[in-house]
Amino acid sequence: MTESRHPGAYAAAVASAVGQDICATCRHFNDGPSELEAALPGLRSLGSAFGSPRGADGVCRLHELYLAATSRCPQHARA
Amino acid sequence: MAESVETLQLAVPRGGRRSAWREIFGREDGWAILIGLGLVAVAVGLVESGSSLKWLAIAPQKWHRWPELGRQLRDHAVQYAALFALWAVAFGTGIRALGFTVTRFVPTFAVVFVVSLLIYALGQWDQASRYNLEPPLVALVLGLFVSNAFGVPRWADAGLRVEFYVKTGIVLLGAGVPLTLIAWGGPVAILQAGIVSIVTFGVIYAVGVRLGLDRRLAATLGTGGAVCGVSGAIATAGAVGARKEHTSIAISLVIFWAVITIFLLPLLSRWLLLPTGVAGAWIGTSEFADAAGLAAAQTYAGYAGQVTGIAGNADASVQAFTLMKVIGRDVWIGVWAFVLAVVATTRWERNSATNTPVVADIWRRFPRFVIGFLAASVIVTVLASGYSYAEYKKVVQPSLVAPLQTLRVWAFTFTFLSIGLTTRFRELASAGLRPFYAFTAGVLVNLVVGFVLSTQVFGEFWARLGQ
Repeated sequence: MTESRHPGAYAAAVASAVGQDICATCRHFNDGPSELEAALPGLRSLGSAFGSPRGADGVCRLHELYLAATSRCPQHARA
Repeated sequence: MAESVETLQLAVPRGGRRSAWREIFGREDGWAILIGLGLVAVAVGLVESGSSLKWLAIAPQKWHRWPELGRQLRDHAVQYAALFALWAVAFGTGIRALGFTVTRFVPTFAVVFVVSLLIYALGQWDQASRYNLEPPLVALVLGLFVSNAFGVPRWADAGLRVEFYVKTGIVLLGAGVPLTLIAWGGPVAILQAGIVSIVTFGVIYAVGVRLGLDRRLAATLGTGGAVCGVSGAIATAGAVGARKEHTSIAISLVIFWAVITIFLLPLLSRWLLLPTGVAGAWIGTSEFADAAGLAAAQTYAGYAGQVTGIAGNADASVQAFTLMKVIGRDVWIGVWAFVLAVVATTRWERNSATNTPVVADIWRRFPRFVIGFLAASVIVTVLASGYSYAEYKKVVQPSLVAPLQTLRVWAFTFTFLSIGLTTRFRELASAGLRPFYAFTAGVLVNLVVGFVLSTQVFGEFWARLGQ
């Protein structure tokens, strides 16, 4: 299954405003919708990772957090 | 330690039409709008040219004996095949754009369509209500049984897109809800839903914190119970930076209670013989997810005219539910997530990662399918305004509204079956007692406050909806 990464222009705008070291540009950050649905059991039952309310959120594999793409931490590692 | 509130005001992201296109059509909401409004546009075009979508919007009719049903299905086999092709192409195109494989979607959807047809037909049996065979509940129970007793292969996910189907159905539902009704009922729905949302969130959050839960988990649980179920929970979890397992716990508790209330709310409403509009408002106030609530509201719609003592028409249940849930609660997801992100950033203990609240996220998280719902209502309302009431009943209702209503029921039946087929109780996270107690406290308060507001405070208002 192919995955599209959504942040795109939005993440670029955020990165230009707050700096490049946001989760959207980090290799620990996973916002692939199908992978999120696999990682969060039940998400696809009465919800979806493909809907608008998720925004550009994803899972940080380093800290095991569910985060907005605009979050930041000292362990940022560019993808 | 409290900090000054610092939020990010973003300039309009640059990236041209391609990015805007990806933002809209990389999401189920965009495709639901495209499919729903596309069908409305085709239906309007056909009516304006003196034709109708009726041939394609085929559905089983009332039957008494099995041979009658067999004859019906045989006589309309070509229409059912055409309807399957229409849905398969429409949803398949969207599914492909979302990144799924069409070859996995088509066989699963074929099964969903055929089983939905059988469930739809069962609901048309003239003894169905006698045996409580309401199609939404039959679809749900059948799906839950198959999923939990035998399992459903992972690759079938492509054809079991609950949110995609329900959003498309809600856009189509807009064609049957006049704009005047939205203007009339919308403010009351927003007021009632606002009261219940704030009370429910407050109870879950306060009980959660009192029981020692992490504030981010308490807030995620609170939004899941107060605003929009799983969508509300994940929007807040992302905004406040909840732990991954806490997000799973919130999702599990929402599903657990949502499934229970699908059965409980119509049952209690029936026992109390609530008018259809009142029951729809209560379900819209107290059910957590759109798909689950529509299953309950449509179940209750089926009692109209069938159960002695229940006043109001069938449409009122689904219309009141939609006003309450979609207009009253769903549209505020982004606001809740943004406010909680600000609170988390400035008032709560820091996480290993910090988020800068982005004002643009209010719009980014907005459930866009609501725009499709409103647009469908505007289109049909404007068209209908050119007809007298008699002409409306003779032309617009049977040639435009009724076929779109039939297509909507199909989309909702796919939804109800898919809920069951994707809900595997074994997979859900073990919540632990403290989150369970906190969420359950909110559910109980929500049920009581929602009942009082729907039946006492605004009872007359909602009862009028069905008359």
